[in-house]
Amino acid sequence: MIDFFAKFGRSARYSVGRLGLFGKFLGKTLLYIFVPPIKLDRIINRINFIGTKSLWLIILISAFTGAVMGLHGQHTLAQFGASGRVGTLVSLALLRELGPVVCAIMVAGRAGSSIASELGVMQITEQFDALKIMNLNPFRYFMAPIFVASLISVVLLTGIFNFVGIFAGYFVTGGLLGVSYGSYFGGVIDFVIFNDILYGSIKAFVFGGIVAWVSTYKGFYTGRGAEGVGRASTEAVVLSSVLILVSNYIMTSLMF
Amino acid sequence: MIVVKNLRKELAAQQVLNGVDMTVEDGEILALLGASGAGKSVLLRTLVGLLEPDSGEVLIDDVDIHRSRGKELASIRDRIGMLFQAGALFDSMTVYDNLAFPLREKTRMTRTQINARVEKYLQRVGLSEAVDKYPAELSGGMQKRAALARTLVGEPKIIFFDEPTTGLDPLIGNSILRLICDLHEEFKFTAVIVTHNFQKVFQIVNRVAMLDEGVIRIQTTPEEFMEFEHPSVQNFVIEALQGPLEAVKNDSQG
Repeated sequence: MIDFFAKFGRSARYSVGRLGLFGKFLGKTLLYIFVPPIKLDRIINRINFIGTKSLWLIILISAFTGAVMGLHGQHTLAQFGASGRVGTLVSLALLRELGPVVCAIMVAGRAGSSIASELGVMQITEQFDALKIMNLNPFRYFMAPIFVASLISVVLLTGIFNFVGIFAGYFVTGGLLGVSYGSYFGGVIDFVIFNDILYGSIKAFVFGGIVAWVSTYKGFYTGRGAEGVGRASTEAVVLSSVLILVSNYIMTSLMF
Repeated sequence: MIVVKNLRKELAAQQVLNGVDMTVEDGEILALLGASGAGKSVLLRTLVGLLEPDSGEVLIDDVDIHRSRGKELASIRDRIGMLFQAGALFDSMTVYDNLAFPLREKTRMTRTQINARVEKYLQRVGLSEAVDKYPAELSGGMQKRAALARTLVGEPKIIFFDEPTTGLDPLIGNSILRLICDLHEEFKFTAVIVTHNFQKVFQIVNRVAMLDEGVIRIQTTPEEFMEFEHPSVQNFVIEALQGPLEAVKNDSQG
């Protein structure tokens, strides 16, 4: 019995310690975003990796998401005689929820896992130690630029996701199911308010931060060897996705 | 000068360093020896500040690296360099950028000055042709030489070498040691070379320190080390000369 409590105590202490480390890691990252010199070239480089290189994936996913929403929405709303409101349904669903959430999870899967692997390999091959010996801080050169780039990229990608998704919804409902342009986009303009766009963007901003925070943390504190790096990469995607969904619920309950 | 006083470090409930005392004089090459798992790399990482000791001091030119902060720490770090076992070259950068990176970030040197400095050290290690190559495109020996050039490019006064010949074939290993020796003669840096292969380094070192059971068992000249009558030292010498399997055979026969 004493053994059980001892084990439980050790495990609890370890978990609290890791949680503290996780928080401290975010604090240090945020600090180095504002402490000059700001590494603009590194931020741009990371925006290219996280944002530009995710663009086609996001366009593809958003097109099919919008199309499926249009199909389902049209069939369902038609049963209630409200098929004219399909544009409203697609746009609100995308702007408020699906756009930021799906986009962030996609970025976590494509860029977050890659960042965790990259930093993990750097850690196990002592590249961060080499930086430290040179008196150069990895938070300035890696964590902070990745964080800023992820914030910018996820917000912009979410905007593109919503735009493409709404038009894809129209192409399906308009082209295949005969909903008129005026009816579809009238439903968008009449019911979408500025706050829908603002809150969706705030969500995307937070999710961008989560993806960067989790993936850099998992990479920096990777386990040993190739297995450790692989695990860090997987955990980065899983934990990012969980935190995105949980924080999305919290934000939705506060915003809408 | 490096002075280590009563350094202790526990890792994973094991006392790896149990009161290490040693000194490294300015301009000398000291070989830090010890069997595999003796804690040489832990000691080295503690000396350069990558690991915090549980207690004790590491004084570099009279300043404790573990108690320094800010500009004082930066000043110590500017004086030291380290050649990592696997090189630790930044794999996303070319050889040129690996060398130029610390100069760009830490100094006010102009682009022309950086080019000249990088070229000087790449030429010195025989890698002038590899400036545009990435670390993954280099052989093991070339990676080691590139890493050595990167260590030297900041012109540190003290260089720590972590197993500089490990993973290299004997010919390349010897050439790396020869290069370290030549560079030492040219730039007069203080060097600490961690190795378990003392036969190779004995030709180039001034003194030897052996880490055994968490303490420095002996710190002396290579000649005196060979004659030192202590079971751990003698076992280490026999193992190094005959190979571990032969040493075990001798043990069982004796």
